[in-house]
Amino acid sequence: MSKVITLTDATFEAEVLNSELPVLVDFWAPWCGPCRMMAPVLDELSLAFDGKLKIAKLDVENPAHQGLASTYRIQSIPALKLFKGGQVVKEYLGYREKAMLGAELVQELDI
Amino acid sequence: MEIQYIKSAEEFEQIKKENEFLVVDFFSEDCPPCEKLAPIYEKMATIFPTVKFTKIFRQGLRPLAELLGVSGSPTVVFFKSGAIQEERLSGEIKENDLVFILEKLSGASAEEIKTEDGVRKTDLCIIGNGPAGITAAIYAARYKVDQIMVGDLAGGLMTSSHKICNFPSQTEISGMELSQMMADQVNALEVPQINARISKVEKNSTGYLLETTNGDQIQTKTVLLTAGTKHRHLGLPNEEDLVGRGVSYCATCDGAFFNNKTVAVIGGSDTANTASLYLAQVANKVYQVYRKGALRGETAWIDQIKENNKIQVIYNTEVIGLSGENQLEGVVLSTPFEGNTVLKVDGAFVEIGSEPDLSLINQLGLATDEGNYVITAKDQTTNQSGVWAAGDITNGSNNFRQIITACSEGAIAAQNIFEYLQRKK
Repeated sequence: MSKVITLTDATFEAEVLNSELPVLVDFWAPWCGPCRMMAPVLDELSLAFDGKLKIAKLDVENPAHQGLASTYRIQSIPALKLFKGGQVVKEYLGYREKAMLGAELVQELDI
Repeated sequence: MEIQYIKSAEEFEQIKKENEFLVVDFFSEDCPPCEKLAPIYEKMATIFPTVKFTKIFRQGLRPLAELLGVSGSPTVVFFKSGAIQEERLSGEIKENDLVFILEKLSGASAEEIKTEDGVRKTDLCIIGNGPAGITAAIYAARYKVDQIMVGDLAGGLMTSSHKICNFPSQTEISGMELSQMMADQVNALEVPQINARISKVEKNSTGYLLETTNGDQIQTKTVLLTAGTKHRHLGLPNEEDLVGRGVSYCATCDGAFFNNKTVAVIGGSDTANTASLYLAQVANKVYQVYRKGALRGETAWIDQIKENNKIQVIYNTEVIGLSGENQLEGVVLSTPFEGNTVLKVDGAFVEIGSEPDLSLINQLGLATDEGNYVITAKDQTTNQSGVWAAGDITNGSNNFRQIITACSEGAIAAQNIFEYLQRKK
């Protein structure tokens, strides 16, 4: 089970930039192996952080999403960016294990 | 938790009200698939303690069954907060499907067949789920070896190959597709799998106690190590800072971000050559920087590189630095190219090979050769009794690390482990 939200260019502003909760956005693409490794980790973290952090993903393969990928200077995936109040406050590049990412998020969110 | 037999519609309504997660198995008498399901269903009841498991004799409560649209046995229906769920299973019900829906329903993950002390016991634990591990799992499944496979990426390193043309039966296929096909095959055999890595190894009197990065514990009689290799880095001081800012170790993952840009590929093996060819489809210009005087690997790729006017190979040159602070601006060359020591590029793809990760090798106490590869015998045994190794991590197959040789080593290991376990019985 997962509470990961699937973003589109149309929902990005409302779900991420105007979100009251902090949002961790996973910029990913289906062709990328490490992104596929990340998916179950994020599914589990979305449950563990439910109510404290939103976890969302944006498929950068979709041509409509490439503007956002370029805005956020995505050059390597998976790229996880933590948004607070519409601003990127932290970035995590490449695959990260659940325990490690979880601990980093706890520290960053001060929870 | 005990399975409750529901005898009346009123009893059903009551249970539905009292339980957040409810599952109902409609069964019949003289029904072979129902009998087949029974032990699986009982097992599920022990695995998912937050879910209420019930059974209804379909012919005994026919109106209720019909109300729920149940017209055959067995049919398993699921309720959450009193609401019937879209998913349901009927006929020949597979354990995996049941686990999948129950996990989705309850949000809990299946702590499969854990014994009372929380340690899962098995005869074989395969570490890694690349082609060696998957092939071994397929063979072991057919030998009916009690096994579990632990890995975090089905297909392993080959998932990052954009084109594979030397695997029999596949004229041309992407690494991701071939990985998916292998994963599908092992899934169809219902091989138990944990999506994680092994973080800790402890030898004891009955074999090895392994701990996963998820915190699962596995006590196993035998271990097959197929953990493969990881990408080698350049080892330059600002390399880590520039990862994701122009430096990449995966052309298929990140190539698309360099549309119409200039990139460098560092290396001269098959992996580097295929990366150049892939990037030439996306980028404006590809410089392939190689320390030797000629590319190595398959002639077919080398010929394609020579014919591709977007790719320029810079021979006898090493990358000795990376320029740029927050964004890669160029690579520093050991020998000037067209008069410049800095080659201006937007991206640099490091493809200088891969090497085994020593942490598990050392924890298992395995002997390695000078390249840190595990020394294996013809039957894939190692210097440690009860431990086999297969695939890219070994010095086997004449050091020819390919998908096909990894599969071959995996098959040999599985057969040898099967014989070993038979002898031990």
